[in-house]
Amino acid sequence: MTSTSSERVVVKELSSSLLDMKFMLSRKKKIEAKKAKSRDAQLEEKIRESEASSSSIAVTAEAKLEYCNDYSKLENLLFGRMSFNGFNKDVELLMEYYEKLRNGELTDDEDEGMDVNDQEMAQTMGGGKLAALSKKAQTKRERAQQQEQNQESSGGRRFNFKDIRKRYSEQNGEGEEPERKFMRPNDD
Amino acid sequence: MRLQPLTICEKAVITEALKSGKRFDFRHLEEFREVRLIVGAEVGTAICSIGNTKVMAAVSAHIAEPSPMRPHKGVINIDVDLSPMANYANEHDRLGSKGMELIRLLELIIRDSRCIDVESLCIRAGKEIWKIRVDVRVLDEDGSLLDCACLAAITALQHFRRPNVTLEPHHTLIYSEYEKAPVPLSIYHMPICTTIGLLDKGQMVVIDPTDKEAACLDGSIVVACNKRKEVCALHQSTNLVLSTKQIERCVKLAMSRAEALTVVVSDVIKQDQKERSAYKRPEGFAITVPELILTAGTAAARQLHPDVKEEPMEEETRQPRAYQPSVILN
Amino acid sequence: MTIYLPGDVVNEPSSSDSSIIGYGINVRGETKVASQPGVYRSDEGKMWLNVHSKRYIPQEGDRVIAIVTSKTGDFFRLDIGTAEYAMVNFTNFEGATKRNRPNLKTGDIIYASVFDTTPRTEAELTCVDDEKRARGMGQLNGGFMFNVSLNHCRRLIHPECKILQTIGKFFKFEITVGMNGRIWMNAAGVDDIIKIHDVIVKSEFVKEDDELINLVQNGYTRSVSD
Repeated sequence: MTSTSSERVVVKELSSSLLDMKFMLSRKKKIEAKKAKSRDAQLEEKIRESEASSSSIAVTAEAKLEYCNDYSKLENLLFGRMSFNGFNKDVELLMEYYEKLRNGELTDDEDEGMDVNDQEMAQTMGGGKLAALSKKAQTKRERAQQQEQNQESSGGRRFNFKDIRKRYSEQNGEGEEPERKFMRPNDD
Repeated sequence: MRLQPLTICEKAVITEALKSGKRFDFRHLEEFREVRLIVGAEVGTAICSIGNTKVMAAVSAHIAEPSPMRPHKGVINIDVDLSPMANYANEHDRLGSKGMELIRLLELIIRDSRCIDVESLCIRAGKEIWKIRVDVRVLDEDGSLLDCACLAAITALQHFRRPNVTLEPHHTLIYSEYEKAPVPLSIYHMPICTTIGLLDKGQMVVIDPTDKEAACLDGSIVVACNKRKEVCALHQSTNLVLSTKQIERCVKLAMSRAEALTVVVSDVIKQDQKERSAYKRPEGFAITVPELILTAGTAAARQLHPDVKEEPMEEETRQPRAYQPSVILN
Repeated sequence: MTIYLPGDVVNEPSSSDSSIIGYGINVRGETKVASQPGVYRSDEGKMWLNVHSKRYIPQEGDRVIAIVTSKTGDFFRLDIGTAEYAMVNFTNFEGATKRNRPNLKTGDIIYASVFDTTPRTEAELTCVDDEKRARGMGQLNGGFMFNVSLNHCRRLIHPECKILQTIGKFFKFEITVGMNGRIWMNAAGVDDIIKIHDVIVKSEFVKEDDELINLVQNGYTRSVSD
């Protein structure tokens, strides 16, 4: 009991709702495989223990045997789709992928062809915090420069008063800003 | 079990190919597949194959009482069985619509065209007649089934010999083949069937269509005729409206075919007779044993090199090196 | 090469690590008994019989070519050449959701893998792998489909088989081999499709490399409407 509870503390488990998300499928698969492996190992150990305690006969030959009716595994067959001389480029890419998979070159860790690219991921997953941190570290001038750049690139998507005023002046046909004067209140 | 459904892509490609005059077996639209005809060691047996279609026919005779309506006429019975071996949509002892069509047409062609002299099958009027039974067994199906079945049945009938009999006042003596030579049936003419597929509302003809081609066609017309240019039967499978000209064209094609095949059948029968009269043991269906007993292994690197038994092909086939479905082990 | 018939005791000198018993062999007690007629094969601790057949029996993990025969509820009913129909769920296609259903008609063909063959039920197929990606499975558009024997199909996609490579030296084409004995293929025109079809069907009886090259060469130079 103690060992399992300590394990629970050590292993960071991802929540099931997160694992159900589309981009987490491969990770989920990996975790499940790991779990199954450990479960099998535990079971095997248990069986071995019980066998040792009951001092039964040695393991029969049958226990080592494994059945496999899948010809593609038995004969190490290729993927069924092929394209020659560039008839279908997509299939030729797939051929490469399956060839790698067959040779075991493709490990589970590297996942080429992601649904969500790294930058997007960084943006959505706590990217904002990081940006705020880096902003803090910037000097005043740097911040101003960046803001200007942002305005140019964003094309005035973000509203600020300076912008509105600018637009207003453009509508009036005057190129430059109207001179601001302090107006004294009239008593009339 | 049901038939494999025809897919959209198959239909599109086959129709496109046919419309441009191309076929998947490199034939012309007006070209027949090669016919192989083999007679068995037993009298009255024959196997006919047209392309991959293969039919066996066996003729037997026994003595029976005639019907009171026709006291001095023999009877010809035709029995057809479509085995699941030929096509897994078939069931044993259940003909279905295709089987019924086949059996009716065979009856029409062989019995109702009066190609066999039934009066000579009478032994004693009103008492004893010969009852001839033609068993047609479909071994493999790939289009033009009726052509193949008809040819096999006709060849088997030509090949058949019934035992000789003599009439005594109170009994009939039946001789074995060692006592008196058996008697062949008297056959007036040989009706030969030709299946002609119709495409494009009958504008185009596709001769001798395979199963897949037939599924893509608009319909087909079957013409049975003999070498004397007599039409024995005409059957159209769909309700396509054909002009007289189109039908005439089909009949003309069928007539030339009938002439060619009549020669083949009589050659085969003559050759067999010659061999039998020379007391040569007939080879029979032994020559249908696949010539390719063992073929390729799974991969080139693991090639098997077995002794491939080459069976000498008999001369009776029109084109001796015809394709044979074979047993493959690898 | 050893040929076993059903009931024969498979008596092959097997190394100790030969532990995977494949198709056609059953173990009864200590002895291995052949349950199908076939040629004995062994490789890296595996032993199996290579069985010639034309009728497909579904095996989990096989990729097959299926013909859509009808839609029933949430499923497409498929013909994969077995005695029973097979099923594929609408959602087992890449990018498909409950609302966004794949648009398949009767007579269309798909390339799918078998993932459930529980006895006495219809086999269930899927067009996505366990990461919900198609990776080559799904509908096959255009082209032409035909049948060959099951072991010819296996031979075609065997890593050491040179048939497709040789054809690929002459033709520009695409092929999909289903383990259920169906082959789908597409090429530039009807002429090429007819030629490749002919070569693939005939290559079943070809053993030697030279013979194969001759066959493909003849197929390439041959004119279809001749």
